[in-house]
Amino acid sequence: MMLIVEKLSKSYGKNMIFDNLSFNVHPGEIVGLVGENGAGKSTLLSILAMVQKADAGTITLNHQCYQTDKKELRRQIGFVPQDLAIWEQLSVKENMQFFAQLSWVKKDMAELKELCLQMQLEKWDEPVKSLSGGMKRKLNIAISLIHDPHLLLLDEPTAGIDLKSRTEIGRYLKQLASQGKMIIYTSHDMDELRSLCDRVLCIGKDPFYKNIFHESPIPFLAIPD
Amino acid sequence: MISIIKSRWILWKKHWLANSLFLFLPVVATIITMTLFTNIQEDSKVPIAIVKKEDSPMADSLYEAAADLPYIRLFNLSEKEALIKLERHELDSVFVIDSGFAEKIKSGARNRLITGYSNHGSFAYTPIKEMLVSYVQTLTAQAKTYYTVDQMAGGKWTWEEVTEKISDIQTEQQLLETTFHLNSIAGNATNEERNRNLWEIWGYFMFISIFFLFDWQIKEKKTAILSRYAMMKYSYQQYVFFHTAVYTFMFVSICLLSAAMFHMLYEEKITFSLLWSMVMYTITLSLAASILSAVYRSVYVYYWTVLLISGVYLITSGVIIPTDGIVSAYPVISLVHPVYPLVQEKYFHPLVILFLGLFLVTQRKQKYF
Ligand SMILES: Nc1ncnc2c1ncn2[C@@H]1O[C@H](COP(=O)(O)OP(=O)(O)OP(=O)(O)O)[C@@H](O)[C@H]1O
Ligand SMILES: [Mg+2]
Repeated sequence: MMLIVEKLSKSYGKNMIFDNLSFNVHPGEIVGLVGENGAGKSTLLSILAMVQKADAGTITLNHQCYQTDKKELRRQIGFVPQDLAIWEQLSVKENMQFFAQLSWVKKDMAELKELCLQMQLEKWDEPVKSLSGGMKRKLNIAISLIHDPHLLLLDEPTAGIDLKSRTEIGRYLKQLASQGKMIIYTSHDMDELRSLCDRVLCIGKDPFYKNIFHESPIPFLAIPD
Repeated sequence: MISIIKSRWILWKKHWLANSLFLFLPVVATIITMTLFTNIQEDSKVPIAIVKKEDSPMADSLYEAAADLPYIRLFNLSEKEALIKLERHELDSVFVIDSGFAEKIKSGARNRLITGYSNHGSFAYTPIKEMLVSYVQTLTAQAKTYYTVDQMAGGKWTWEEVTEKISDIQTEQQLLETTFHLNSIAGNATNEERNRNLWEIWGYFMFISIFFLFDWQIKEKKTAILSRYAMMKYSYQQYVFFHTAVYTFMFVSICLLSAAMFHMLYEEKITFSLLWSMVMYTITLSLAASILSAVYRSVYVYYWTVLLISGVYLITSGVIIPTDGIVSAYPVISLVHPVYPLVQEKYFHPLVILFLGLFLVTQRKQKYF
């Protein structure tokens, strides 16, 4: 089981975001995706999540190809969007219930609650409106995990939240990785990347990032030309 | 499908009060409007009193004949009371059936059978007097017939037998005339008129209910949440498709409820063609609302559009102003306006085909990812 990305290209009109990008991700691995603002991190993640299409290149997950086995792959991917994708007017419980109804895997109330508790999201009956930013982020992640995906893609899951929540989310990602899941996530926090990631994938045109990570102890995954 | 209904319920119950209000609007608002409508009609009727100084079947029959007149409200009062009310202008006019009424008719007398009172404000006095006089003439004609028959038959038949026979014949003739009337000037009989009004009003409120409740599609079209459907069991297209189906089913239930309520309250005959027309009307509007709400991103712009369309709908529907003239001049209106096949109980609704086609095309075209 493995994620293989080969010669991936994407541009918006004339604006080329990345070209000829190739890398692999193994089970149990946490890969950090870094690059300056506008480097194309969200674009890459949404292509991996099948929310967008690439212009060229192939992606296979578990020997299943993104072009042909879309239906099978949908079950195996979990995507946490950069913007909160939750219902503000519903409570945590109702959000979980709503998305569980539309999910592949039927989970009962106890299982859904357990999923939230694993992330230290205790405020089960509280409306999302009144939750703190960190709590909302946790819910945003929990919803993406309802169908037990093999590949988990997180777009800035820890942006703008306090140290404690950040640590709790990090600890949970480690736990998921230890279960054999593949995790790709973006972050702008150096310390966090150091403590969480097995490898780092650096994209974008700014040499700044590449220079930092060349000197850092985290191994590089791929460097686009 | 169960999971679709459950997911809908989670969102629905958050605003259950407003949602239910809009859902039951067609039933509740139609009944309210109809009640106001009939009350206004009742208030605009002319108040008349008939004083019966005699208690005979013949006096009763005259009273009943007056009570059947459409535009008057009839009171049965004592003479004194009636005249006081006439003085105060609470009554338009007063008619007194004098005692000895039946006897006088039987004996062929024609004078001083009824006394009429009016004052300077009365405007229904003359037509009602005319009507009563003509009715009395019918009665005296019956009396004459009786004496002729009586003389010929040598006293075998009673008065009642003869008059009963005469009125049987008259009823038959009247029935013939009424049928003829209905066929020649279709839709002008009072009963038919009311029926049409009811369904036009219901049609309008159904329109409002369906279009305003379909704002769910705009509210649930949040960019961030849309990206989740890429990894869920239902794609966003399927989500919209199934939820449109759930809403349509809900509105069809409201159709059945409305039909049952109107049957109980207004004795509407529930026929298959009526139910079919109601359901087709509902499906047409649900599809139209689904297509329209798919286009919009802001609920407020959508609401204003719906209000605008509902204004056009109202003006061209014939609820407020009669549109028979316009429709016969431009028959295309009855083709593109969904309310016409509804009130005419047509089996074929041309719009439903159009909207169904459009719905399926937009469903396929809409690529969210
Ligand atoms: N739908 C789109 N159409 C055109 N251009 C787009 C679109 N989405 C993103 N872009 C452009 O593509 C580039 C990459 O955007 P993306 O959101 O992937 O960057 P990012 O690395 O996630 O940045 P950030 O760190 O700010 O989140 C940006 O220059 C952006 O303007
Ligand atoms: Mg981004």
